[in-house]
This record gives sequence, C-alpha cells and structure tokens, in this order.
Amino acid sequence: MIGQTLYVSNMVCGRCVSVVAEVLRKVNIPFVSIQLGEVELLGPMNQMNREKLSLKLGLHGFVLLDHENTLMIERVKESILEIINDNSAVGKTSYAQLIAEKFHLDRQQISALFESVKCISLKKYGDLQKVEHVKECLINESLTIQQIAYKLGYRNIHHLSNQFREITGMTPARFRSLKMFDGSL
Amino acid sequence: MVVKNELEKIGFEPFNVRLGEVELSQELSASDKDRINKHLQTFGFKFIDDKRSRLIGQIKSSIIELVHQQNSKLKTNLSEFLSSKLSHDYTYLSKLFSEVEGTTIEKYFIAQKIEKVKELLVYDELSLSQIAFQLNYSSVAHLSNQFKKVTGLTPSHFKNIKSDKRKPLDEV
Repeated sequence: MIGQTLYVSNMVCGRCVSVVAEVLRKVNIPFVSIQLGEVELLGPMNQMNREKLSLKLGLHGFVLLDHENTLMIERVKESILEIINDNSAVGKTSYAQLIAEKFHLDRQQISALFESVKCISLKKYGDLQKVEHVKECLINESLTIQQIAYKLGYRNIHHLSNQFREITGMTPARFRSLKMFDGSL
Repeated sequence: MVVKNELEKIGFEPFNVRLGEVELSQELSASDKDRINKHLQTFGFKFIDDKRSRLIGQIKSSIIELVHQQNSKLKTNLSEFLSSKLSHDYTYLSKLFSEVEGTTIEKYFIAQKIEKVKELLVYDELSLSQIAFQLNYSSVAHLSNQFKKVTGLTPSHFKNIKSDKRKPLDEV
C-alpha cells in the first residue's frame, strides 16, 4: 500500500463516499481509493492538511479518526486476520470478545468504534475476510475444497460451502470452475 | 502475487491489486495492453477485453440506477430488466459478471439495495415500512432480515452507530 490510510466514521453509503471524495479534492489531498470508512492516500499527509481535512469532514458529519482510534481500528483488522489464520480460536467466542481480551479494552467500545467506521459488524467483517481467503485458495488449484475447509478452520465442507454461498451467491465449486475455465484474473 | 510481480517486471506500476482488477498509475496505450495481455497469458491469466469490462460496468450502473431512483421498475424481474436493457441473454450476463466479480448479479443487487436502505435510514425521513415499500420488500421483517444478513447489524442498531467527535472514546 502506498501512502497512508485514513479512517473516517459515519460514512454510511455510496453518497457519503462521493461527498468525502469531493472534500478531498477541494482540500487538494490526492487519494488512491475510498471505501466506506477508509481513504487510502497517495502519499503522507502533513498536520496542517490533516486539521483542514478534519474540519471540512466534520461539517458533513464525518469524523476523521485521531491517531489513537486509527491505531485501534488497525489493530482490530490485524487481529481479525490473525484469528482467522489461527484455527483454534474460531467458533469459540466472538471476534470482539477475543480482541477485547487481547488489548484489555471494553468489548462494547471496540464494536461501537468499528461499526461507526466500517458500517458492518466485526463478525461480518471477519466472515468477509475469510471468504476472500477461501477465494484465493480456490483459485490456487493445489488444494481441494475439503482441504481448504480444514486449513481455514471450518467445521466441515458444508460449513464452508454455506458461508461461501451466503456471501458470494455461488458454491465454491462453481466459483472455482468459472475462474479456471476462463483463466481471467 | 503473480500478476503484480509480472506487471512490475515489464515496466508497469500496479498499486492496487485485487481479485479481478489491477489499478495502474499510468494510462495504457493499445500496444501496452497488448504487451500486458501477452505477458500475463503465459501465466494463464487473461486481460479482459474492453467490451466485456464495459458490459460489467453497464450491469452495475443499470442496477445502481434501478435501486437508487424511485421507480416502479424495481417490481419487475431483475433478469428480464437487465437482459432487455443490455440486449444480452441473462445467462451470458450472469456468467460474465460472476467470472469477473467473484459474486453474482443477484448478490450485487442485494448489496445495492442495502446501501440504499442505509442511506434512507440515515436521512431519517422515511419509516422502516416506507423504506421496505420503496425498495419492494414484501415486509419490514424481510428487509430487516436481509439487512442483518448483509451487515451483521439490525436496522435500528445501525441508526445509532454514528460516532460523535465531541465525545472521547471512553465516553462513547
């Protein structure tokens, strides 16, 4: 990733994304991408620009997260990826609970902050990351779906299949065959 | 990732690589595209030609238009709407979309509807049942269920998640 990632809370939909894009352009801060809650800048941002941006975003009801909260969000994202990669934690307790224990913080606070930025629950974010991981494994032909399920800590192939279909609309097998047949990226 | 490395090897600067998409920091000429295509083909990848990616763009914008404009077309069948609007068999559109986007047209449609629901919830001018009606949900329960499935949150919880700049983190 080039440059810095900014976290912005209260961006709830596509229109908010356009508004934030417009603000960034007006303040002359070049960016690479914007999604709900996150702006990837082309390069680092100085303090003066940060304050200008924070003010202008504030006028629209958006909150540019300060360093402490930014760090928190990044820790949450990293922790979720760690939890996904470490099968033993999966299914026993919630992401929020695990993360709260890890950083000795209040579970509710973490959830509230995360939800105000990403507009989805921690669990949903975790599930989405997991499915992306499954997709990558599916494209790499060497593992069977059964092996992928085992590798990523699903109880069984049906559990993987259900979650995958729930999120993508397709079965893992269909996804794999589409990607393999065409050879497209 | 293979694609990123290979693009860098032949002199391009990919700065954002996701499944199905690469963002480059430079514009591409026809011969650039040709070079990229030939190079990636040796690894079993294919640069999707402009006609197909344009069609994907049209599918997306048709759906966005359908959802975000208040119109009665939402009541018609999505597959019929798209195939007649884009003059292609829906099976073809569906397969193309799934191949490239890694998700189905139907899921994309649902995602857009939920985006619209979020927007309407935040504007707070319509009741949940008015929102359900506008977006052609059979009931508030149906809307709430789908909302929860997509976001992990209930519509009422969602309405309350905005953070207040004036409150420091420990008072949230």
